[in-house]
This record gives sequence, structure tokens and C-alpha cells, in this order.
Amino acid sequence: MEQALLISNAILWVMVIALAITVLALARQVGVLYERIAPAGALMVGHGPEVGDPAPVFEVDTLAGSRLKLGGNRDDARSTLLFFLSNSCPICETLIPVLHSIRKTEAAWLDVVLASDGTREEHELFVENKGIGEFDYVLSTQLGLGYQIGKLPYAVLIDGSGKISAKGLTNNREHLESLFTAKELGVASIQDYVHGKDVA
Amino acid sequence: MIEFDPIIVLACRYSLALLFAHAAWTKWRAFPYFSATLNEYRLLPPVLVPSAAAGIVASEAAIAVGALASPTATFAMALAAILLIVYISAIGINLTRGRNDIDCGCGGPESKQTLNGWLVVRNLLLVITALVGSASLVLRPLTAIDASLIGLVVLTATVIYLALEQLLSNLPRLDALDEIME
Repeated sequence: MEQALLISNAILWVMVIALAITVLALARQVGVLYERIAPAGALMVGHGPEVGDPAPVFEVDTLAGSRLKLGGNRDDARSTLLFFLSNSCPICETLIPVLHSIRKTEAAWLDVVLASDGTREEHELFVENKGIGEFDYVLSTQLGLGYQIGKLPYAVLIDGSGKISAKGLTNNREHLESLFTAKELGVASIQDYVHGKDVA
Repeated sequence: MIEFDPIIVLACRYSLALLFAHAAWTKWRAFPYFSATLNEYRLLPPVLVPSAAAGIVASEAAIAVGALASPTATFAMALAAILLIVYISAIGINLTRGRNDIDCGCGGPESKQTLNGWLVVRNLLLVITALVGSASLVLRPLTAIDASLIGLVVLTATVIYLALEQLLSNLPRLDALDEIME
């Protein structure tokens, strides 16, 4: 009897550990699944001007000192990617290399403008530390309020005629690129794409 | 003084030693990230954040080491319970503020857990583990079977804990999916 109990106990231990490992593996697979089936795209949260509306026109000074007009019809028909970030947002920092590569590869039709608010000194330090001096960097509370930016990093794509062609919360490269795809497809947001709404 | 069988007490101590060693290591490896996360909790003036972050990492490392040897283990477990209660309060305060989208900072940048009620439940269970671990040992000779049992319990508890952690970090992904599909 005692022998049988000992053996049963040993077998149970082995099976408990095997089951625990199986549960761990399953949980990981579920996590991967969530990631894969989620259509990668910038989530449109909050309010502010709608996609398709003319972008509010702002005249702002860049950190470098030049004057920049955001929104409105542009003679050269170039688009503008307005990227809202903050020096205290870790995810924003992970997107800096992506912004560098977008600036290079999309240079033919796109200007990238970084926008934030706060004191000039801390942002000058931030620009220097992160090596993002070649971007137009604007500090304007009005701009953030105008687009009603609630969460960072947030990006707004303005086309050459001054209309908003896409916008959304951008946590990674796929999200940022989804804005360009949205512009090409004429879809307002990932929500609209999933629901098959035709906004074009 | 409460006394428990050595198997129960030692399994609690060694499991928590492993847990805190891992926690301290991931926080240390990505220290600037952890400081930024701690700042996001908005509980401390920004000037104090780097020293508080260093203090947390040092305490976690001290708990991990202290839990291994009997003379210091009771103290280490008490410190663990206090630290966990501080975490529970910090998470609770931010949950009541509605700031449930900040990173919990429990692991490194990869773990990406946002704050939710389950973290409080998890930490409460860890507090109970720490309290059991702070009890004294019933004096009896320990055999090889006892030692291997302790090993098995620590192993199983760790694997189950990892599975729960994985499920917790799946939660925000599931929520994000729901948000899109709504």
C-alpha cells in the first residue's frame, strides 16, 4: 500500500510539472496569436479634426528658429507627417529610428515635423541627446490642443492640399506605416478598415 | 512565534528569492526604462525618482540574497512583504486615478504589462507567500527527500507563476483587439 502511494505521488509530481509547463506554453501561444491576428494599424482615439477635414492652420517657430506653416494648401503639394512626442515618453524614443528611416525613404513627397510642448531648454537637450537635429521640431501647446492630442506618440498625416488624410496613436513602425497605407487606400482608420467602411 | 514545516517555509523563501532576483535583474538591466516607468506612477517628485528606483532595485536584490540564509531570511521576507504592500498601494492609487494605461514596471521593457486589478491580486498572494516564508522552521532533521520536495515545489510554483504572468501580459493585447473590433 505504502509503496503504491509513493509511486503514485512521484507520478503525480511529474504530471503536475508537465501540466504547468503545458499551461505556460499555451499561454504564450495565445499571446502570440493575439499579436498576429490584430490588424496592425494606428488606432484612432479621441476627437479633434476628422480625417478628410482641412487641417487647422498653424504658424509655428521651429527650435532651429525658422517659421513653419502647418496645414493649408501647399504649392509644392508635399505632405506633412506631424509626429507628436514628448521627452518623457519611452515609446516615443523607440520610434526615433523609424522616423529617421521614414524621413529618408519618403523624402520625395513627405516632410516630417516633430511636435511637443514644454520648455525650450529641455527640448533642446532632448534633440541633442537623441540626435534628431535634422527634423523640424516645434514646441506649441496650441498645436496639441488643436488636434486634441490625448495620448502619445500620436501622428497626423496632412496631404498637399491641407486635408488630414490619416491620424492615430502610433506605438510602432507598423502603426506609422499604416497611416501611409490609409492615405493610399483612402481609409480613415484601422477601425474603419476592419469594419469595411468605405470612406474614400 | 508561528512555526511551519521546513518544506513549506523554505519553498516560499526560495521561490520568492528567485522571483526577486529576476525582478531586480530586469530592472537593473533596463534601469533608465524603470526610472521612467516609476516617474509615470506620478507618486514622487521627479528629483527623487532615480534614487527611489535605485532603492527599489537594491531592496529587491537584498531580499533575494537574504532569503537564502536562515539568520537573515525572516528579515528579508518581512522586507518583501512591505515592498509588495508598497507596490500594491502604488498600483491601487494609479488605478483609482484611472491611469490604467501606464506600464507596471514589474519586468523589463519587454514584459509590457499595463496596470490592472489582477496585479493587486497577484501581489496579495505574494504577500501571503512572504508572510509564510517569515515563519520559523519546526526543528526536524532534513533528508534528501525533503530537499528534493522543496526543489519540486519551487520549480512548479515558478512555472505556474510564469504562466500567470504571460496571461496577465496577454490581457492588454486582448483589450486592444476588442477595442478595434467593437
